[in-house]
Amino acid sequence: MTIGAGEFEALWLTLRLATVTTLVLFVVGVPLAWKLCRWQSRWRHSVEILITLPLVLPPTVLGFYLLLLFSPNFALGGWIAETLGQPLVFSFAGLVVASVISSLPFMVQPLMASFSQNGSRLATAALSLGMPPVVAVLRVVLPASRTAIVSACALTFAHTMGEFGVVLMIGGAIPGETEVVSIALFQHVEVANYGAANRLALVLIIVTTGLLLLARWLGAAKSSSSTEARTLGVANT
Amino acid sequence: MVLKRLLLACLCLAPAVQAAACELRVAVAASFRPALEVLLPDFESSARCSVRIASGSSGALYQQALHGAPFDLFLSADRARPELLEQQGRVLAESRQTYALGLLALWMPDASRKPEELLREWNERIVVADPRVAPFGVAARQALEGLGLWEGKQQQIARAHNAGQAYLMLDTGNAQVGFVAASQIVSGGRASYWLVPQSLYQPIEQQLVILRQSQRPREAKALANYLLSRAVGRQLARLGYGAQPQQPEQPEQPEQPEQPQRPAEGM
Repeated sequence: MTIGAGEFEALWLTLRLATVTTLVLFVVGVPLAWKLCRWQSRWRHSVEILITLPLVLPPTVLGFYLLLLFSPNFALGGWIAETLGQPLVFSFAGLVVASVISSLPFMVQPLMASFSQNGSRLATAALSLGMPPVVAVLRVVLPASRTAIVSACALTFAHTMGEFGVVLMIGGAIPGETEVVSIALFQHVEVANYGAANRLALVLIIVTTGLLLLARWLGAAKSSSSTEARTLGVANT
Repeated sequence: MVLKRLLLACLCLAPAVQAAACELRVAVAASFRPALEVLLPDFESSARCSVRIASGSSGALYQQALHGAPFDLFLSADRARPELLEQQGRVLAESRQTYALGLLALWMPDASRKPEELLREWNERIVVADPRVAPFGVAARQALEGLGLWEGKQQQIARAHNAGQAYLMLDTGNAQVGFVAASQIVSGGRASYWLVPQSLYQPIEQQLVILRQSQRPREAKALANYLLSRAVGRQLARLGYGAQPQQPEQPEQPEQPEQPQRPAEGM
């Protein structure tokens, strides 16, 4: 079984995209999920639904709206193109932005579920014992939500590895820049090059499965119950 | 009384039965659907046969036809898929014919410059359909090669999945130069474009086949003949398609070589 240089490039690009997207979404998603959990407003549910919307739209349609959003013909796209010196479409940065948007629910939903289940309780306990809020989140809530964080990151990562429709619309299939594995794979299928398609699909599945197993193993290294007991211990000091 | 009721029932059913009597299912490449919708009413009224359209990418429709989808006629956007179906014994003998020629057009930011010059000097993105999967992509590559620009412009090429998507990228303003189908430009009503000379690329033959599983091969044949008629050919020229090549199947009208039908000034 051989993989061409082009396919290796696509795989490497996809891994980079999935990693960057997961990191960005982690940094954005954790505070967002936490704020949303604590937010006592009638707008809360609307915002929650808004975050779920990328799941509702077919990816190619989402990609189409991103085409419009990034278009230099409109205010935002024009501003972006001016600030960055290049338009967001057909670029790696554009793919990251698109993937962040389309994977947002995969990061935020598991986090919110976990935060609202036991995070708030723990935070209240920590605060009542005089812990500053930021420290309470960092040292109590996040460790207690470790399992949820791992699965949110794993979902985001896996979803981005297989990202297709959005990339198809805004990528431009530029090798090494926007031609991800799923696009290369689909091109093989379209021209009935089944052998190459099978190989690439297999590699994609093996690599992603391996990485997700690794993540699961890291996440499960300490069982959630013992983590919670320990963080409660921290809260008591 | 009973008889009367029966008669009434028959009367009520009659139109429905008649409508069901003739219904063709046509699978058409998404890019040709708008043109087909313009052309069909004439056929439907004269042949007293309704036509149901299923559209999608030629590749997907090919797979569906191959695996027994109930299509009578398949209008592909290329010649490769009908050829494959023919080789696989899925079509009626000698039903494969070219019904339209796709014409390549260059989308330009404005019409004031010479297209070759513009292409040569352009240093931003150039959108083309992917030559590996799309017939219009192959034509675009050939045109760029013919102009001696394909190698030099590699870094600027953004590849759309098909001509439709290339058009979308240009129409939303995300790129200013790119190769699309003339039919898209015509239906979009755009003024600044260049109809790439047909000498620069191999003809983009769009072929049709009548599928073997068709329940109504006679009507399917009638529809195919209608689509291949001169009247339709003229309409297609207005819609941004090239003339069909010679049709040996229709000897009643010897082809006159005087008009190399091109959608000239009207576009």
